[in-house]
Amino acid sequence: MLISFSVKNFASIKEKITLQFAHMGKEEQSGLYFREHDLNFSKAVLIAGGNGSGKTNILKALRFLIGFISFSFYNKQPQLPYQTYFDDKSQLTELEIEFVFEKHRYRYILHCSPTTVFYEALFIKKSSFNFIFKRTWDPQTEAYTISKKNHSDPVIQFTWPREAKLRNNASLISTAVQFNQDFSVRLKAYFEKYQGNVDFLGKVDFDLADVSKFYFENKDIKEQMSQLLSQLDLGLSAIDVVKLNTPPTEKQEVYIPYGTHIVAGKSFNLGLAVESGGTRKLYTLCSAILPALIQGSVVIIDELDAELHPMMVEKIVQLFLSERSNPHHAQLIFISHCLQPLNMLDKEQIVLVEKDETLNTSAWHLSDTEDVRNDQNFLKKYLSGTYGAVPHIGLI
Amino acid sequence: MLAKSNYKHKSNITKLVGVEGEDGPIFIEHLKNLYTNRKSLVQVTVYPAGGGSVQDIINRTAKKFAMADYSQGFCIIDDDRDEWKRWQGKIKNDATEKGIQEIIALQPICLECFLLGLLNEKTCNSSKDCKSAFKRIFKTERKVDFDNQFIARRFPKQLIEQQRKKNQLLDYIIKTLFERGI
Repeated sequence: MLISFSVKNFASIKEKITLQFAHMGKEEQSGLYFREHDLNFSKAVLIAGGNGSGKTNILKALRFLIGFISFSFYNKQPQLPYQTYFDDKSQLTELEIEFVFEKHRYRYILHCSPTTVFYEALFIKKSSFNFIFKRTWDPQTEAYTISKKNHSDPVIQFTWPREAKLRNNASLISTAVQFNQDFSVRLKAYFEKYQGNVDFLGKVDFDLADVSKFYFENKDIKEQMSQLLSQLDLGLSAIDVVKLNTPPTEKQEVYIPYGTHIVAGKSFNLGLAVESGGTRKLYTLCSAILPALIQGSVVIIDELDAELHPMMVEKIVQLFLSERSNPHHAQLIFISHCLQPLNMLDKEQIVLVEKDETLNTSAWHLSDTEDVRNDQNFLKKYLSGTYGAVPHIGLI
Repeated sequence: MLAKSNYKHKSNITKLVGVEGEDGPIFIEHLKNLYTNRKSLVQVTVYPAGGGSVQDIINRTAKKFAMADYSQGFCIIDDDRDEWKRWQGKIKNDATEKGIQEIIALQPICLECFLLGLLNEKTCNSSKDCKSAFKRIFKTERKVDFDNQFIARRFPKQLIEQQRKKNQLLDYIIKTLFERGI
């Protein structure tokens, strides 16, 4: 469960922006939230704004941070895979994430340049936030100081292996994973459950072959996907995947998806490659969405609406809002230019993004705008320009 | 991290302006660029409402108006339309029912006549003559009938500011469309 995320000096983001995925206050009864740790967690958060405003950069930063925590040890390049705001070296990049992991609330902070970590810390919330570890770069000695705090709960013990060598551009967690440090291994596994079509480079289209292999190996999820897609008026009654060995050696395995159509009582199978773009999009999207719904994890989707009818977009959002389809409290964080979901969500669950004249990306929750009430027609107000974050297109 | 930000964004007043023809929207967009920017709390959408009858222009603007929750809707037309002269009251009522709160008619006669007046050029007695005069006077300056650069060059802010002191309609258009208070 994701509580909040903030980022500064990353790609087009110069000033600090913070996204809230949970908020304090009395228990919300709208069905748009789930309640844990005395917080109202958003089941879905929509990020909206014009083209080129920097929406994807926010999600890239989030994926970068998650990747840094979990996998940075494997990055053998001297540079971390990101750019500062127009190559701004005058200030550090600052990233922060707050999340719930194994029923505890954590905060992780990273201050870095593209080559060096200057500060890294993990905190756990007790009555206040107590650190588990802190790592600080000492410019005098050109070495790190690592402080650890022993906690009484054995499951949150972070131990730092003596023999471990810490690289300037690798996280403590990902390095400790190499030594099978239990807490770090579990935390890495937690972040691996974050699904989606965004990585530190931006939007990455799902690969049909990878997705088909995934379905072939996860029959339960494939069945759920087939059932869901057959209910979406796509003309399909089922989808299945077969494994074939390619000639001449027959050593290479390929996974072929196909849809079943019933016409006049007869069954016809068609390869997914000849189905509509929208059908293929839903097929691949389900490989991220369904595991998230099953595990109660976080799914991050850029351009949810690409190739989809607006009602399909609504349906996908509805899957996360419904207690029946989302009993384990998964969270959907998504960018969409189809804006019908604006009227499905609360003002706390809508993030507006725009760039200013210095091309700096700014982002704010709709709830941070004066005189906005949840009974307003957000879609119509947004389209009129009332809230800002719309493109300023001149006449040609 | 969960502390609420003290800074509050402000909602914008939003105005939709449906403008007749192809040239009119370019001039109104130019005024918009002179008097508003991204940070203005008035956001104006200039909508090229095309040609046809005044009713056609109002209908197109009204459809656009209904798609979003604009604070105010306006139409700008030429003043020399027969139906406008004959049935002004009925047209205004019909527009109001569709959310268009005001129809602004460019005087005297039409857009070209209005613009010639701003440039202190001699105006004519008919729309046809004004359009011809406009083309003749600026034929060497314009690459296409009405290009944005020509408008920006010929109607700089200094000129507009001077003219609005004596041209009440220009002053009214600027105040009505680009200021928050009205």
